[in-house]
Amino acid sequence: MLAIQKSSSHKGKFTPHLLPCRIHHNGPVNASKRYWDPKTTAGVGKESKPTSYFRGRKLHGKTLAIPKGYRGVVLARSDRVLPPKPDGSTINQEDGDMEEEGVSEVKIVEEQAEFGSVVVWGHECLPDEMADAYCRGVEEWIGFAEMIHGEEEEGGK
Amino acid sequence: MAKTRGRPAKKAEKETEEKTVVSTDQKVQLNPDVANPPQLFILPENLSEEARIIQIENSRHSTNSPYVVCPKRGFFELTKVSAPKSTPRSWLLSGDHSEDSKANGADIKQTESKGETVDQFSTKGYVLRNANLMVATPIDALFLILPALTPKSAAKASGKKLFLSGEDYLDKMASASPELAPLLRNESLRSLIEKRMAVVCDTVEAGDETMYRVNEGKILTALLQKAKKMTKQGLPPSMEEKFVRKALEVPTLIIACEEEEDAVKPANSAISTPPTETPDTQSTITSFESTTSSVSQASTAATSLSGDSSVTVTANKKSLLPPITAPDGVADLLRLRTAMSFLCSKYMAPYMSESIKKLASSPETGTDFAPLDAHIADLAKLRQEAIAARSLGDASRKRGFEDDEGDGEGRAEKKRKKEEDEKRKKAGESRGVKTLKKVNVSGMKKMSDFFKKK
Repeated sequence: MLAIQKSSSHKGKFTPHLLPCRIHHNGPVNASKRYWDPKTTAGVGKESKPTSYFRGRKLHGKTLAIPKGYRGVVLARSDRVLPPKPDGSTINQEDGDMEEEGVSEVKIVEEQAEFGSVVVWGHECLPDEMADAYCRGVEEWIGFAEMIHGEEEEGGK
Repeated sequence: MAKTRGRPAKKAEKETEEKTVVSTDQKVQLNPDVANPPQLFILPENLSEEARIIQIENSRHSTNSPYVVCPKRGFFELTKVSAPKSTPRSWLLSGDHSEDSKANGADIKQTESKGETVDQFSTKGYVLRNANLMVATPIDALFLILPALTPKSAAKASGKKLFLSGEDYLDKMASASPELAPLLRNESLRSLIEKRMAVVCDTVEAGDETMYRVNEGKILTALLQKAKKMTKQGLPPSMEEKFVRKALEVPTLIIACEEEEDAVKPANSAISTPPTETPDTQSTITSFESTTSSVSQASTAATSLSGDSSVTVTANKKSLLPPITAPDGVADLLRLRTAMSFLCSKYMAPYMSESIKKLASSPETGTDFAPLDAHIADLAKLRQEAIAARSLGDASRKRGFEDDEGDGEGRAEKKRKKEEDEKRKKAGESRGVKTLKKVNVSGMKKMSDFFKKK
């Protein structure tokens, strides 16, 4: 079981870039302006189109905004354990009469940063909206899932 | 000379300076691969403090999958979006470049000097090898309680089902997914689940407690309601494309092909050449030197030559999505069915979805899929006919000139053999020999010339 908490070293907002290649590394890098410098060409067509160069390859980006009512966060597991709640809280009233044996420890995942949009990059071309799993996951799936399961409110009232 | 040499040298020097600086930086940074890389999530806003990410038994696979449970907002399902193996991807997280790069550099040095762990997340730049994105979307508590309501054993002996209290069902649920147990003590979550339970169950008041027993008919109506809701605003484009358009489209494509052929013939006749002879004469000419395939090649060449207009027409058709040609309501029915099967295949255990599907196909359920079935059967027939017609057409054309030659089949077989032989020969050749064959050797002396007696 994991509880989400804001990290003390929360880094604020940033943008995740989905590169069309695999980098065999996990960890911080120095993505200085010299190596990663996405530019948005302001409205030639309908929308502003971000382009960038990664190791000499031209990439075209598609910005996916996180839908309303949602936010993007970066979560990292930590070793900290959420201290078991003492009585005081109103929500866990019944803890008293229930036996505590079933309660597993609650680990904390730290919210390290948040993001408001994701940029999906395609090599030399724009990612295909119909085929790209990320475009569909962010744009289609969330709305669709809300439609499927949104009944709760109507049915409840 | 000196000038032109001088300038690049300077530049190069500068660059190498910079590069060395950078590379030392990288050496410092790039050493360890972080053991527990952070993950990207899309979570609902306003999650309460009590919200937890837990493993709950999946209603479909009866394995555990992650969910977000929040007493205030309800249940959310975590869906993992990851790149397919064919197109590997990685995350590069970077901050906005508004900050001064120098300041950034200072930052890093500071953190290093502080001795902070390197796996500390920094927005300056962070690479994640696995491009996973976890998306949390709302899920109806109904689907979570469903396995508890309909145990596998009971499904078989469906004759007698007992009324059980909500408490009992919740206990079952908790025993299936122990991480859920502490959260189920929460009053709001309990009532939410019980409310959803009441939708698909027969209820009986026993004393001050409500007893529940699952009713498959009610499950079906609940599902149908959901499916209708899903189709009301249209299915998502990719789903619409795959299940509705494709399913209804294929015969229209063939019709388009037939139209094309039809269009070609009048075009030919308009040019005042006898319509059927043109391809035939061509093919007889070519058939002297080449194989059976030339017939179809020639005929396609003929169509592409004369059918310029039809080609442009089809191109237009492709860009403008063709309207779905189907009787009224059939497309909607198909959408409904797609939505239903999506729900069943995603959220219901296989044995449950079986029985639900059975129920859905029975006529009493309210929606009649008969026109859809009829239409799909029609389409299948059309498709077969079209295929048959096409192969027939080819055969008749072939016979046209093969009859002149005599026994058509024997000839065809010979040709096939010849072709195979050629293929085998070609397979034996090296690339070098093949490429050398293309060289124009006219005017060159033959190799043997050099070894002749003079």
